[in-house]
Amino acid sequence: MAAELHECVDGLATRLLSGDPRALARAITLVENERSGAAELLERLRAERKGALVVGFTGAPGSGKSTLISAYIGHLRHDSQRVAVLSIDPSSPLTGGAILGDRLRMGRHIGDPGVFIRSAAARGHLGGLSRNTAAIVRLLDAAGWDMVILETVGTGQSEVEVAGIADICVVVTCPGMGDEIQAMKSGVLDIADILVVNKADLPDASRSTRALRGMLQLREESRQAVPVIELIATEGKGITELADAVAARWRKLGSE
Amino acid sequence: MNDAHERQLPLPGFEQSREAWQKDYEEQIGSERPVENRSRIAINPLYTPADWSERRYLQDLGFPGSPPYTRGIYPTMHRKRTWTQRQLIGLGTPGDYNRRARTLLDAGATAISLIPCNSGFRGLDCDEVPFPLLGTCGTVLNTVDDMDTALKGIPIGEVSTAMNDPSPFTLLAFLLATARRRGIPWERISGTSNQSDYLSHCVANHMFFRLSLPGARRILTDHIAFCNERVPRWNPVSVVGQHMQQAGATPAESMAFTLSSAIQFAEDAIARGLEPDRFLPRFTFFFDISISLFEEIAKFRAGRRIWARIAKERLGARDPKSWRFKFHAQTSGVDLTLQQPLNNIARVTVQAMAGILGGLQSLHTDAYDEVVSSPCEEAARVAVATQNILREEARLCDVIDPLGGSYYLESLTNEMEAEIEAVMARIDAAGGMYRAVETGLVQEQIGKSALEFQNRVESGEQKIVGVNSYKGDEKSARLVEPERPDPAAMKSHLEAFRSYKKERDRAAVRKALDALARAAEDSDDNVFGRVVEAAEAGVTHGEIVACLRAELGFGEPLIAA
Amino acid sequence: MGAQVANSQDPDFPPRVLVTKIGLDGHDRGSRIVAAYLRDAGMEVIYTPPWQTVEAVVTLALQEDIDVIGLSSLATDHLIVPDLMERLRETDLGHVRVVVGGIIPDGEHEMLRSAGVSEIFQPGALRDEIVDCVRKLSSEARSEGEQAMEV
Repeated sequence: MAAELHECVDGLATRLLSGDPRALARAITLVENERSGAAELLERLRAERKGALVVGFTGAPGSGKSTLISAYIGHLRHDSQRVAVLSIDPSSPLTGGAILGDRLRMGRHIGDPGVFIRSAAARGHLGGLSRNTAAIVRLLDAAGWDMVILETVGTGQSEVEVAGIADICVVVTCPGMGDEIQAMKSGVLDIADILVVNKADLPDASRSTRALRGMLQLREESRQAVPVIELIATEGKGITELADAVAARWRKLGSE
Repeated sequence: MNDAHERQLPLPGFEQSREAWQKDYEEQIGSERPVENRSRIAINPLYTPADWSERRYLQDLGFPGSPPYTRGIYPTMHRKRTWTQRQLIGLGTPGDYNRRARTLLDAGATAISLIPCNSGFRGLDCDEVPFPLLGTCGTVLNTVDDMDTALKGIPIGEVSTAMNDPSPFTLLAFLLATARRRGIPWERISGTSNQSDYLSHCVANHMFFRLSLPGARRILTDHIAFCNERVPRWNPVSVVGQHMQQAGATPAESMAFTLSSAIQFAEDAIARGLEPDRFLPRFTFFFDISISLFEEIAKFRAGRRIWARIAKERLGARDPKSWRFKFHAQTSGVDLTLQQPLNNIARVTVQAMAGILGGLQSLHTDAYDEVVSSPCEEAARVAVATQNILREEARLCDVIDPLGGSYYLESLTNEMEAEIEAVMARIDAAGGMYRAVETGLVQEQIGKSALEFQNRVESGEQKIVGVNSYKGDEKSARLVEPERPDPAAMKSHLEAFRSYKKERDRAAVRKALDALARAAEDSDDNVFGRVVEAAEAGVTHGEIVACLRAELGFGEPLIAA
Repeated sequence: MGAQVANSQDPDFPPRVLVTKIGLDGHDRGSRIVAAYLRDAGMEVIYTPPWQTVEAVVTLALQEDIDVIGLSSLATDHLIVPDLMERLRETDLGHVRVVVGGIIPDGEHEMLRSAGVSEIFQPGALRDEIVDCVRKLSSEARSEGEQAMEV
């Protein structure tokens, strides 16, 4: 039985590494649910790390994360970067079920073989991700995607878990939601590598930006260099600035 | 709803008699569940002067043709001019449409309406979609030539046409181009842009939502400005409550969302510098009529009252023509069933009555097989006959607002008005209808109402004959395959379309599309005006929509599951 | 490996269902209600807007490792379901079960079944019927899918 299992895992790993998206999808299911073979598969792929850049996006519901990610993907694809996305949505505490709808806003990328999108339910896990997110990210990395985008549940408050997995954390706020205060309270300001004020066409936008900049100044030195970027995701405005900020941060991390 | 002092009716013995009845009723009825209508308003077993007093006559009802307009927008209503019988039709090729339209006009319809194929709704030409899907639910119509064929032998300078076409309104553009070909001045073209309400599409009929919210907003205001100036008998705005009600909004919610949308469109036009008294008289409304008979009548009466107040007090209109709540209504397809389809004739009759007694200006009655797809000829005939019977035999036109003064109806009209205004207040608090739609507030509310109704049906609380009650022998009650367009005719239409594209003046097409793209960038230009020019230059529907999608954004509705 | 590794009755492993519409019709009230039913029954539902192309649905089924696809068809969109079934098979997703709900004329049920559609729900289908059916089909899809991966 062990030999059979080993063969299957090996076969799956080989196909995943060769770029077969079906194998990747099946592997994710295996790992997400901790089925027999999952541990072996992860072990088998440990040596295959390719150093994908993992960018986490967090922010309250209504801040426009998914639309922003979709616009960002468009930009990355222009640069021929291959992108994988893992979007986490909450599970119903009553029934355990979930409606996974984040990828709705990324519909325009569906026909692009250079984009792989997977939805996952949080299944009661707290912290903004799901239990096996880190393992799934390892699979996506092994499968050769240049960038892995991680979209958290978006309760906006205790989203700090993403900092442990992502190389770069982007915190998305939007004016008029009291996000600035929430951000300060929740500790999310301490994990942000980049702050985004989305829906920057709204009247409160510049006030939000100023408030966030002000709060960052009050923190320790490393926080003070955190850029605050104004964006209108639905119009694609500010996406280049975001992409540049991510690239700059990645370069800095590389040289540290 | 009842002022304490109004209870002091000068009717000796009233309270005594009422109490006696109440006692008998309670003794005999046994246990009963409270009854609520679809708008969640409690319905009592009996209504009396205690619920509504005639003292309120002038305040609540008045007389038809003047404020508060509850009884009707014209002094004469259907006695002078019966409602317009406007049956929606659309199937197959333009030639198919032409035949059907002429049959209907001969059978007594007084206006026509055109539904384009679903491919058209999605902004695509006939050569861009899988062949089996063409012309099954509407007419394939992508060019000015197609429009000319569709309207052959129909006096478009005299017959009113409703175009069921969302932004950027290419069908009207093709109609205007056809009129020019025939030497008919645009001043004589009358009808309505039936699907100009982009907010309702974003919320509840995504298939019609072609362009982004901001793009559609811009084009609607352009459309109003253009039509007011160049096609003065055309109604560029039809504010649509139908989609939302069909998606599950209660009747009160659908009226509230519709009125809030109308306010939004009017405010956008005013911001553009247009005069309310110039464009408001050309605002029309389009509603669903459910089978909840009295609720629907009350909904329409309340709507008339509220709109008159809004137009005058909130939008600053001084001309009484601006205060008139003109509406077209369609019997609700959502109430119809697949099982025992002939029952739908009875349903449509009740719905039609609700609309007529509610004082509509124009009516479409569904055919009994409309649940499946476009109606067959016989079903379409019965639908038109239904209206004729209600008018000629039941004589529903003899009396204006015949149910006015009914204690139930007046009480209910007041309660519906309060409920409608409560919902409108929530929309205002959210920053207006555009904001409320943009943030998903409206969609969420509709989803809730839809689920509630579904639960009532599932639990059996709401019985549907033939579906969850009074089920017959289901095997004998099935529907035959609906009418489908003749594949050979569609194939040759497709070939003709391809030839058209090859043979037209490519340079003119190119030029027109460039002008259209530039107009989208230039806030001083009128995008709809350029759409009309493009139509005349031979540009196709799909090309026009694709160009505007590229410039203004693709319509991606906010889906909240 | 199938039975030993894959325990399809594992209660911690909710069915993954794709609820979508292909073709041109856009009325999605029914879809949304079904999506809510399935969620309330503990399933994980990937929900999309209408007018997905056949290719898009195949891609979704593949990336999301879907067990059951629920299609809503009110007009004539069911006429292209056989194309979808074929594409699923061609893409090594033949194990994915497909159910269709909505208005399907009687005369066309046979066409859909022989194309491989597992179940057709007419208006009036009850919540429990739909949920139980999808759950059963999900188990079937999983066993088959796991066996298929051995190659």
